[in-house]
Amino acid sequence: MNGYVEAGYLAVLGVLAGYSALLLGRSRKAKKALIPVRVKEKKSDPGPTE
Amino acid sequence: MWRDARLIAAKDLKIELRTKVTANQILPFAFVVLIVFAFALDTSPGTLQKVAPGLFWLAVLFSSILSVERTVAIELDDNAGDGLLVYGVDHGGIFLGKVVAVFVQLFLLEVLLLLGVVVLYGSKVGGWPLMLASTFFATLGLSAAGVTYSQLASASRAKQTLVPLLFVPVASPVLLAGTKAWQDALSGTSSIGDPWLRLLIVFAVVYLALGAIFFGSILEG
Amino acid sequence: MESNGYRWTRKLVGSLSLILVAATVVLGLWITPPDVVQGQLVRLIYVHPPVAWVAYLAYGVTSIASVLYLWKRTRNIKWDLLAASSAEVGVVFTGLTLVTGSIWGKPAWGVWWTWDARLTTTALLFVLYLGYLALRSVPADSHQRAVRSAIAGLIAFIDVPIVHQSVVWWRTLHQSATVLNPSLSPKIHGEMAMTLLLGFISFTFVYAWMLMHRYEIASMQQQVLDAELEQMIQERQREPELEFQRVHVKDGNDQINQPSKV
Repeated sequence: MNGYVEAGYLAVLGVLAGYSALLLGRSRKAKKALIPVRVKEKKSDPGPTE
Repeated sequence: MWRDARLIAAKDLKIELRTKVTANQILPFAFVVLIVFAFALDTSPGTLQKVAPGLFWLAVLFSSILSVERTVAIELDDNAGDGLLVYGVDHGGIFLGKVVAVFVQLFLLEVLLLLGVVVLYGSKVGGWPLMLASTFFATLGLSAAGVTYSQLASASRAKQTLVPLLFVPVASPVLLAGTKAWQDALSGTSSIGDPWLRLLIVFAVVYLALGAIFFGSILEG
Repeated sequence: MESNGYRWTRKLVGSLSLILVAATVVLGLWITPPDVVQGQLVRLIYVHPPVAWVAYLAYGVTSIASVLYLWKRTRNIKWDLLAASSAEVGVVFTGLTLVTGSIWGKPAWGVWWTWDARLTTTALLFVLYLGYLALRSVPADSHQRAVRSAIAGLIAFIDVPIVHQSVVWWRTLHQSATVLNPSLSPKIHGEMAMTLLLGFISFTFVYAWMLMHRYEIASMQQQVLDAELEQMIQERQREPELEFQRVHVKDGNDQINQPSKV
């Protein structure tokens, strides 16, 4: 079209896609960090044992 | 609350009288800023006079960052601030006292800085009512917002780098309005009814209120 | 909060926003006609105002969540996490608003930047919330951080009208009206209006998806943090025992009975 329009759309779609990818990556990392916590919660559920 | 505010203000000013941090460090810094502005700009007559109000308020803004950081730092030494809380000093009182102390120091600094502007930049001064009123409310607004933000950032170790980032955007209306009010005062285009003065008053009132409301939660949180 | 229902909704919102954005792009770039005044440039109107709207929406959500945290009756760490999530998404969209505005400005006004009231306010808004996020990123006790961030978020939001007013006056009181206003509001009708509306809806959906995702991450991180804290407390409580054991093997290798690091 005229370069500017394309650049505008590209910027919007690019940044949003990039941020989404970042979110997905962080989500995966956070889930991994949560696994030991979850396991422990299940273990320590019945009473205060050690 | 008012009694506590008076006590805190007197205490902070006494500390300043003894340590002379504002007089020996912040004030000279403000003058250096005035001088390097002249380097950055053109020294030919006319240029500096034209931008003098803006440069003045920029120098004040920079100095106020140091000043509000200092007022919070005082309480961090030997955990003095926790002592105040334990003694049951009114939170709003602490806030108002600190604002008054900062205000007094900044105001004196501004008077001297104005002399510097007159001497170094060759500005002519006039329109006193508007000039005085706008300076009063701009300084009050800067002090109120500055003390609030400095206390907000005080819990973190990154404090020194965080305060300017938090405070400068918030204080930008004061810089703008202070500059414009001074320009109006100097050119004589308007007096005490200047819209910029109204903006400065609104800013000062809003931040005094916000600070008084939230300062307690910041201290305790 | 991390129920299946939440995940399912998030996925639905995510797929919907993908479809909607794709539709907006297709309509905006190819289906709608060029404008009489602005030509092809008008196509930017389908993304720039919606993106700006989302930025303001995000900061509005941050402020409401901040108030809800500060108010003792509704205090819950979830509001703090929501405020943080929304602010981060808001900063992304504010950045995009500035970039698209600049890209639009270059061909329309001949410069990348002009000290227009709206542009300047948006730029200051960007910095204000960067400061908010910086304040958040400093390690602190989670309640303390929540209170301080909520106050900072609220003050930032209250500052916006003051900043805007000052900038508007700055640009209008001492100068004649700027060049940009007339050409910026092209007459909109028919499918163009539809596409613009679609743009608003689709980017709002994108925001909703990002917010949900970001919130989920924050919530998971908070759970890990809580668990670590709990473990530390438990270990503290066991400490005397360990101390006792260490005394007994004092001449042996101390390392063996050191409490394990968290």
